[in-house]
Order: sequence, then structure tokens, then C-alpha cells
Amino acid sequence: MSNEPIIGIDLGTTNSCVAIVEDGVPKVIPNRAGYRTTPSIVAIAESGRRLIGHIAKRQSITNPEGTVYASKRLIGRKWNSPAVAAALETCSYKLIEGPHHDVRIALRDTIYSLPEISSMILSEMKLIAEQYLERDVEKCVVTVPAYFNDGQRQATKDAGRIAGLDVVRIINEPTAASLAYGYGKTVERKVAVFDLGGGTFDISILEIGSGVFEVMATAGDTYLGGEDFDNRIIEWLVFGFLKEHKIDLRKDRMALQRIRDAAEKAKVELSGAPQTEINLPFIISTGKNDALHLQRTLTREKFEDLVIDLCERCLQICDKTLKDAAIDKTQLDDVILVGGQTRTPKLQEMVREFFGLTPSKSVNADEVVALGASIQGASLLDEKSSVLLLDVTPHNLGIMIVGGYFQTIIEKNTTVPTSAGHVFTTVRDNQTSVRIMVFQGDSLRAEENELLGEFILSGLREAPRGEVEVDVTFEISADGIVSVSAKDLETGQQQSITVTATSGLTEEEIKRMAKDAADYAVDVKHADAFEKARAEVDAIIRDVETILPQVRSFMGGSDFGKEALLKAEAALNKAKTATQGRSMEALNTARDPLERTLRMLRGVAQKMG
Amino acid sequence: MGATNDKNDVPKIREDVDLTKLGLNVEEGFLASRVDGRTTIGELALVVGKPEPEILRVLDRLEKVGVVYYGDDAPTAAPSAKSGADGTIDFGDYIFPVALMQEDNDLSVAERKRIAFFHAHLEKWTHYELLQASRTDDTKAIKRVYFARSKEWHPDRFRRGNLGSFKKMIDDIFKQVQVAYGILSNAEKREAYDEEHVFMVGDDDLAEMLKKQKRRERDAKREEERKARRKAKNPIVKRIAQAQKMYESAQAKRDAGELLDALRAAQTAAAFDSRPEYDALVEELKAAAGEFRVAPYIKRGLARENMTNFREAVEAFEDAVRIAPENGQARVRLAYNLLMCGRDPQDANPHAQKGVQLLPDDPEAHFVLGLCYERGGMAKAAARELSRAVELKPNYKEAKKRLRELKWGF
Repeated sequence: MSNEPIIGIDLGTTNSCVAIVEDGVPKVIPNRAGYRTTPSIVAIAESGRRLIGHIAKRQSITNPEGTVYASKRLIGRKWNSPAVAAALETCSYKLIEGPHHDVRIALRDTIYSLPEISSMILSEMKLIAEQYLERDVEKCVVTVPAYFNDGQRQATKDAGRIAGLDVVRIINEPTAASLAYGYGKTVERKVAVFDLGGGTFDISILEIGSGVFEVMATAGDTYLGGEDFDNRIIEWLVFGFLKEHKIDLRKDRMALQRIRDAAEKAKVELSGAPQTEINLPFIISTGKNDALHLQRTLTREKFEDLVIDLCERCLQICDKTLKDAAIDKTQLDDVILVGGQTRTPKLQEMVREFFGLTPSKSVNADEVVALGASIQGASLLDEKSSVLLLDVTPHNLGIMIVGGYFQTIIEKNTTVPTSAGHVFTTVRDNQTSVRIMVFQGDSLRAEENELLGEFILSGLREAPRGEVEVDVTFEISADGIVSVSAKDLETGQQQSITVTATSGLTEEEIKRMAKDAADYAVDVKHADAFEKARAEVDAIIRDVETILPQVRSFMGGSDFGKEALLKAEAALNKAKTATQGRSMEALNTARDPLERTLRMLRGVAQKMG
Repeated sequence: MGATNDKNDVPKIREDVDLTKLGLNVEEGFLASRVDGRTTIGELALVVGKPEPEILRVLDRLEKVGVVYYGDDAPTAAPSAKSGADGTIDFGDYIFPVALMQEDNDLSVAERKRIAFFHAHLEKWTHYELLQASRTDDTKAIKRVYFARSKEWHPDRFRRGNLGSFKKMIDDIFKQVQVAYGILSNAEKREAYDEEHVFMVGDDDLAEMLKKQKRRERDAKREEERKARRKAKNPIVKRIAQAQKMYESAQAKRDAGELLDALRAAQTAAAFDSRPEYDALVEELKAAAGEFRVAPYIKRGLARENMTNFREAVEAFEDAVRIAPENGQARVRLAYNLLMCGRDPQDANPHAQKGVQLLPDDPEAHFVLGLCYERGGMAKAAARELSRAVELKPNYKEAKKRLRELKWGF
């Protein structure tokens, strides 16, 4: 067995996090700047440079059109879906329709698919892990919201491939959280994971016993998350301003971006403080050298008033999930809160009331998902691992039957791997072929569910309707791959497909993108080396600059000293120029003389006493 | 066996069974404790104070669970899924398929054995045996053993490169583990399952159980009938059945010597359902019927030949050769008559040669070939063939005469 590590990546709507299990201990890998999470923001700067994470977030105000945030809300979505319609209204970046009814993002002169945008974040996480581990990382477990459908999962996998990562398993975020929560504990417990992230809400009920994690039920809402809480504050600010000044701030992308940042900040502050000031001077110019300022006070009460319905929606979903799975609230031993949004005191209070339990404080809401992913990664490496995850399918799987109805074949919350079948008959006289359309979803109408794939079984015997029987069998592997086969029970004729939901990208596109991204990774790595060298040269420059004034007068006394001073200054200037530029070669050639200068100067300083 | 027991039979108890651990109900346990290997069923009824049929029913259940046996030999325990204290499994006398043990894959021998053993017993074991649970386990304990089995059999535990044909076996086992857990973890389903497979019911339930059994049997019978009806209606099935019938009649006709009818029947069968044995029969009959059909032509030819109507004889024999190219007589006669109507011996020669080839010991054949050579001016070859004819048939006057004439010609 290979000892190649499998890292765990929490690809979040607002923040991403990467973790690894080392010597049996899962730990978060901090990024180069020392932060434990990295904003899921990608930007293309004016220079055409690709910016990811904190740096992308910092420049987002000045570059709203070139900055992509919350792309996870769009990944795997169809162009005509409500999520895209909503995004079209509020996004500061430009969305266009892709060739396969998917969504693409236009940044500067280039058009990106969503898996590509996500792949940039994934390659950043990969890079963070590689720098920490000091070796190549090729395998990972990526988490997605439990309620992601097959298309969204596939798109996430594609993103991994483009980033040069083999996504060995996609697991659900609440499940990952429970893995981190229950890892190393031997107790038997039934827990609820309440995961309100940046863009999605998930609830999962799990049973944990001697290292086995069994998902009993899972449900959620992919249209409900922290961003909705932010939007409530944004709306409150914007509409207040509109009432006062008759100016719609949403029309100004830069203003909107500033408001967005302020709203998020205010929300975070309100988790700890009873009220907060929102102060955005010069928010918009009114033309005649005059500008308006935005200044409001948001109290916690007002905020809770704004978002109370969102909190209630979460609890409604919890209630329904528990009822569907026939689980009594009182059977639960613990509630785990996951996702930054669960820090809102009002929400915590409501959760406590609803479950009658004080939420567990043993996990860090921002990091727990990545830690869980890394634990699953480690358990896949080791067949003797103490951890086993028994995951379930989050949606009903089935086919369309006559009248456009949806016939479930594998019910949701079924443990995978699994298989199930059902016998169908022809519906028309002398029908010689049947079209098997595979859907996923919870609606009774097939068209309201997501079409995963279709195929035709032909060559049936001509017979009155209802007489020819076709056995349709579904199979889901441990990796979540769905295959469907249909068999004519009379002749034994058989047809089957492996359902690979399309992410809107063709195989060639993914391959090409992966190649492009690989080229980019070389560039990024190179840039890293450059930054490192520059930092070192910078440090020498600083040393020289502190030491130089001290020895200047002493050396200025002799001709030899004067000459040495000139040489030292020349070396310093050359090094300074090199640090301004982008050439590694110039930096390296400037370094040697500078180091010699520093040694010389230090020698002089020593002589001075 | 149970049904044939009567009141004079003596039930015996298995020594190696711990009655307290079987989860028997009070009634079963009580009766089992009275069985000592000396008391007859009739006596037991008296001892327990219950009517004989009831005692028989309970004994029946005990026999099925393997507590009670009749006759001399105690049944040996079926190999169980339970592993020993040292983690090894008692495979009983299970014989492992050699192909599986020698397959090229990344599994160790112990693993192969474990997988093959479990897979082979999936159908045989009850859900309790598969999960290694006890019949008295509560839901929590069932969950615990389910988790333990999952840890052993989940496909994530076998993430090696090549699992060969074991991959499917592992999948099957894990699926069956899930099925077992699905039933045993659900109170309603478990009850129904116990009723059918584990025989742990009180006598009050027995009547109900028998009723259900009857209903099940009736349902099964109806289902069978429904299937049969559907089958009967199905034209494909009909054709297949018809083909089979035709095939059988073709065989019968062939044995009765009615070759032409047999051929026709076999051809119909093959047309309805193209199976290799049907096609083979058609081929066989075609060859046989060729011989059979050629006879009238030869007869007609010979009649014409006798009347020295050689031209018509040639026509008849030509037909005969077309029908049965391997018929020596037809060849010989054709050659002879061709010569008789004064045709070029070059035409006759191949037929005569083929005739000799098919009938090497027939003087007529050699005689005709000799004639061909003679007419073709090949005296030496003609003499050889004629001599051979005389050799085979010493009083062959015609041959002797021609031989003499040939010698004079020298």
C-alpha cells in the first residue's frame, strides 16, 4: 500500500480549510500567511495575475468585476436554475451561459467554468499542504454540503481533477464534522450535526459506535446560509440609504462590495457585542465634489429581527428530518454546531431550545469539517483503521414512469454501497423499446428532479401493453457512483449505464483545463521561490541599511574607506532594484555582493568597538 | 422428518448444546429439559401434561433449531460464522474452490478463505448467524454487531488494487449484512423473520403461523399459475415449445425410416428455434435423405438402360448424381450410359473414377472404368481395370470378352 498522504479539504462557500492526519492526530494546515482558513475567493488582477485567498479578498473592493466569491453556490447548477437567477441579481462579477446549459464566469478577457474557479481554490489548498508536508500531494477527500446533488458533486470532482488532485472520496460536511467530533472516542452516541455554512444549511443525524459512523438521516437546503444573513444586513443598509437619499447603492459595484464587507464584519461583531457601528465614509459620490457617507448602528436585537425567519427555516428542516427518519429528539445525545454562522447567539439559543441540549463546544466550527475529511482520508489509506464511515444517499434515486411520475428505486438515507431493483412493464401495445430516464430528487414529478442520465432498451417483443417485463436495477458503489441496468426478463437482453452526472464540462475540456492548471502550478511554485528569495534579500538590505549610517563617518575618513562605501552603496542599490523586479536571476546576482558588503560592514563595526 | 414421528419415537437431546443460550421460550425449554433419550413422545406427553400433537409440534421446532434429534447419529454442528477466541474462523469441512484460492489478486490466503467461506454461506446462514448475533439480542446489541461486521466487510476495507472475483463477493457480503441489519433492527420485520426462520414462537401463535404458512403456500401457488399462464401466452415460448415438439417427432420419424418426413419436421424445428442440435439433425437427415431420394432415379435409370434407351438413362443417372454425389452406383451407371450413347469418354471418365473410388470392390465399377480407358485409347489402363473386374468376379463374361478383344488388338 502506498503511504502517499490523503489530505482533507473543506471547500467552503466563504472559507476553505485543509487538514491532514499525522501520527493519528488530525491537524489543520495553516496557509503561508499563518491563517488556518483561506477565503474561497479568486480574483484576476489587472496585470492578469491570479489571486487566491486573503489577497484576493483584500483587493475585492477595488476590483469587484474581477473577483469571484461564493462560487460554490453556482457550481454544478444549470443556467436556468433559481440559484443562478438570484446570483445574476447580486453578483458583482459577470455570469454568462456556458455551452452545456452550465454557468460560466467572465473575468477580464477570459471565461472560466465554475469547476475551474473551484480548482484554483483547491490548488491553493494543495499548495498549502505540499509546502507543509514538503512533498507532492495528489490525493484528497473533499467535502460538500450533504444536500448537494450528483451534478454538484461531479462538478466538485472535476474541479479536483483540474487542480491535479485525485478526489478519492466526496463526503458530506456534517458527516465530516461528526468524524472529527467522534474520532478517538469509544462511546456510543447519537448526535445531530447542525451545519450552517456560508451558503448552505445541512442537518445530519448520526450514530457513532466503536469507530463506526452511521449516517441515519441527512437533509438540508442549498439555498440557505450565512450569506443570506449578510444579505439581510445589506438590504437593511441599502434600503435605509435609499429611503434617506433616494440613491440605490447596489448600482455601484464598489459601494456594494464595501457594504458587503461591512455587513459581514457587523454580523461577526454582533456575536460578541450587543451592538455595532457600521461606518462607511464617502460611500458614493454625488457628482459635485460632494460625497455621501453611510453611518448606521446595528443592535443585536435589530439583527435578530432581520434574520429570525432564516433561523426558523433551519429548525423546520431539522424537524422534518427527524420526523422522516422517525428519530425522537430525546434520543439524541449531543448537537454539534458547524459553520461560522452558528456563532450567532440567537441561533444557538434556538437550537438549544429545539433539541433540549446545549450544543457541544468540543469542536471548532470553522475547522471541524476539514479535520473530518482528513480523518476519512486517513481511514481510506489504512484498511485496519479504527474509523469506518457508513454514508447514505441524500436523495431518492429512480426513473421516470408513464405520466411523468417519478418512481423511487433507492430511497434516500440508504446506506451505500447498495443495490435495488424494480420490475416495470411496457405501457403501449407493441412497444419495442423503453427509454430509461434516471432521476434524483424528492419530487413526485420526474421533471422537478434532476436528470442524471438516460438510455434505451430496445428489441422488446411486440406484445399488448403491460405484458413485457423489464427489470431495472440500480447500484451505488462506496464511491457514490451510480450505475443503472435494465433487463428484458423474457429475452434476457440487457442495457446499462454508469451515471456520471455532467458538471457542464466535457472530458476534453477537463483534460485541457487540468493541463493549463498544471502549467500554472509551476508558475505559482516558481513565484513562491522568488518571494522567498526576495524576502531574504530584503532582510540583508535592512541589515545593511541599519549598519551603514553607523560606519559611514568612520569609513569616510580614508580613501580606501570611501571607495568601499561607494561599492557598498552600489551593491545596495542593485539589490534594491532587483527586489522591485520579477527576475530571479537579477536577484541572485545581486545577492552575493550584498552579502559580502554586509560582512565587510560588520567587520568595520566590530573594529569600531 | 418431524412429520413422520409418532408417539413411539424417542427424541434425543444434543449433548453439545447449551439450552440456556439458545433463547428458547419457556415451553420449548421445559420440554427440552424433559428429553432424556429414553422417553418416548407418548410418554413425554403424559409427563408434560399436554396433548401429543402439541408435543410433536414443539419437538419439531426443537429439531429444526438443532436441539433434538432422532436415530443414532447426532447431527454435527453446521459451521458457524463465529470466530474463535484467537480470531481464527472454524471453517468446518468447507472445501475452498481451487480456482479462487489460486486466482491472481492482492489478497492473502487467510482473507481469501474468509471471504469465500462467508460468501458460500450467505444463503445458508440466518441473519443472526451472519451478523453473529444472538436471538435474544436487543436493538442496541444488534447495532453493535452490525457495526462490527461493517468494519469487516465494508468495501472501504478492501481498497487494494486487484481483488479479482472477490470484489463482487465482498460487495455481496456487505449488502447481505445490510439486509440482515435492516430486518433485525426493525421490530416488525424482525418478528416476521423470526416467525419464518427461527421458530421462537409460543403455541398460541402457532395456529396463526400455520394459517400464514397456508396463505403463503396458496400465494406461491397462485404466483406459479400466473407465471405458467403468462408463459403459455407468450408466443416466443410457444414457438420454442413447438420447435421442441417438431424435433422430437423428427427423431421418431427418422427411427421409423420416414426420412423425408423427418427432414421436413427437423427443418421446421430449426426454423422456429435455431438450436445447434436441431441444425445438426437437419444436416444428418439431409445426408440420409439424399441416399433415400436417389433410389427412384437409379431404378428408373436402370430400367431405361435395360431397354437400351441410353439417352434417357443418362438423364436419370445425372439427376441421381446431383441428388447424391456420393452414390457410387449412380456414378458408375452414369459413366456406362454416357459411353453407351457415344459421348466422349472424357465426360464419362471422372464419374467412372469416382465410382471406383466409392466402390473399390465392385467389379462393375472397374469394368466401366476399363471401358472408359478403352474408348479413350488407353489400352494399358483399360486392361488393368478389366483384369481387376475379372479378378473380383471370375465369371464376368463381358469383362473377359473385352479383355480378350484388347489383347487381340495388340
